[in-house]
Amino acid sequence: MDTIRVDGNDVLAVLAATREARRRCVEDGRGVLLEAMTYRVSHHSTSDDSFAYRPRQEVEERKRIDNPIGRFRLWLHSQGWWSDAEEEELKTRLKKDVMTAFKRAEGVKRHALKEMFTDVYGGEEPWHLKEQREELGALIKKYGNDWEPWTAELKKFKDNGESLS
Amino acid sequence: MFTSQSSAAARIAKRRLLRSSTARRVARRAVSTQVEPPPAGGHLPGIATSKFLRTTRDAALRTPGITWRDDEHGAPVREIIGGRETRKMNVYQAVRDAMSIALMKDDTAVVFGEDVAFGGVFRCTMGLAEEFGRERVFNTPLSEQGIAGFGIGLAAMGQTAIAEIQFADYIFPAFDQLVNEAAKYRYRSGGQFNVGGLTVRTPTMSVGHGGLYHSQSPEGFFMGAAGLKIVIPRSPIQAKGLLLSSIRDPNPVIFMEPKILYRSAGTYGFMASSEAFPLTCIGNVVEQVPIDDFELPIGRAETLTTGTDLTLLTWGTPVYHCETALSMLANPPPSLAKHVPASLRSAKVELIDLRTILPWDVETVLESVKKTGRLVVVHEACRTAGVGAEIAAEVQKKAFLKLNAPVRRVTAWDVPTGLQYEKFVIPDAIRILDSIVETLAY
Repeated sequence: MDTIRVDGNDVLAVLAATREARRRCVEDGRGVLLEAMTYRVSHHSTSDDSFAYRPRQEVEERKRIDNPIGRFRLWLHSQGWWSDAEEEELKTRLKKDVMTAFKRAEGVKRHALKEMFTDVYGGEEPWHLKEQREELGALIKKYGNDWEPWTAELKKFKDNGESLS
Repeated sequence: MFTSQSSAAARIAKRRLLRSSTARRVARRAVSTQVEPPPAGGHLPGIATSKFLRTTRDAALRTPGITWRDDEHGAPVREIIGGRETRKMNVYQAVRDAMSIALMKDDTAVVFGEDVAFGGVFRCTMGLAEEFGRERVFNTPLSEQGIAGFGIGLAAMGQTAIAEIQFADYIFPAFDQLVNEAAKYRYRSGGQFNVGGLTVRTPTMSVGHGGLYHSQSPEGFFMGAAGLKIVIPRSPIQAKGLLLSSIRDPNPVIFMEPKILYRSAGTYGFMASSEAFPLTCIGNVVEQVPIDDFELPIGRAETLTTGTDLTLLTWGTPVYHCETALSMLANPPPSLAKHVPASLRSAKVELIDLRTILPWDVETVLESVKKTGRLVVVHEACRTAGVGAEIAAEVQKKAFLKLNAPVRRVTAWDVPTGLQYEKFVIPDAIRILDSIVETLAY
């Protein structure tokens, strides 16, 4: 099997290596291992502080000198295909689009609560899920208005939890 | 030597301090950017004031079933409690304390798993690598099957292997190793070899926002694996005593730690590691924990409140939801008063923490059910073929004529724990209260 290691932060290098790997796969009928070397600059999740297990300096340097987006932008600049003004305009517009989408999504109600039981299986709903769905429906009917933690939560769903049974 | 040691210690202390101050900063930020959820049980007496937590030295030292292990294992037990010290700990500190004792007293003991050398995602191994060395406390590749297999090999060679699977949801890649190797090792060698030195620790149960892969309670899947033991503690004292028992038990033990109970403060937690995980605690799960070496018995349930009208059986996190339900049964808040008939409010409910899932304490449960005639089992795992099913079958066989109502199960529904639906999937205090009332009125 052919293997190739490529600078995963170089967009064009990854593209070229992938093209060549694809060509070999298709023409020779053999697999190719393509190893794209990159680096995770963000934390693992919003609750992770990765500086506990790697130096902050290392991350800052990577961000500064080895940012794949920055590198590609510089290349576009050098070709005369992109400018700082266009960059700023794009960033502003995209940021606005994302915030608008966020805002819209935050105001949308959740799916109906009964969807909790759908897609566990395809086809006919098994008897035990039907029974449990109806049991929860009866509980919500009984306590939905009287149990504070449920009352608040139910309002977030499209059906207010009323379509379970 | 002295200087270098103390400066190393100072470095570690400083690093810990830095970490915890970062943690606090981030935790504050997390809180300030999120809408505060209502308290888990509304504004009702819940875990924040749990009377099952032993918060004084005296109460801690009188924990039922406690066995002191002052000397080498096997030496005569000293019953004296005078002069013994306790320290305020939450669950993760108690788990760490137990492992520290195991590493200190047993030269063959090793602790390993994903990120444990950094302290683990829930801080349970914080500082252990610095204290006992990287040869004894070390990270493994991200392979649960490998972790279990490695632990089995170590244990088979006579070592004490304390493995961590980062989340119980990730234990399934290790299922083959645990069920086909660990569980059967003694049997298939005719008792010549065993892996009794293996303990697999893993955080379990839901936290309020874990989604499909950080909310599961897989204890039931291991219940059919004869040869394994399964233990689930409810509090810091329980965690320390039961973990030390599990580590020293002559059988492989899966020790499942309810992860919402790890932290003490009722705020968002924070952990520095590659698979970090925020926690919303449901109250102050802090106890005065004896600092000495002690064990609590495996295979024994603990009766938390005695009663004559109904047996309420659970383990792990739902212990505290049951406590809330019982308080609402006796004193329903105005909005719930109409659902709790006055005649049932004085009912005496016997609450039992099962603690060991396999082999479970059939004696304590049966004795209670024969007295009360009613049983409600509460667990976070799904209903079908959950641990409650096994218990119900055994109880109806052995106490059929004593039962005044069908055995009821309050469980998650047979669906994955979808993030948005969690409040209605995992059983809470109202569902427990409803089952108690229905069973009492049957």
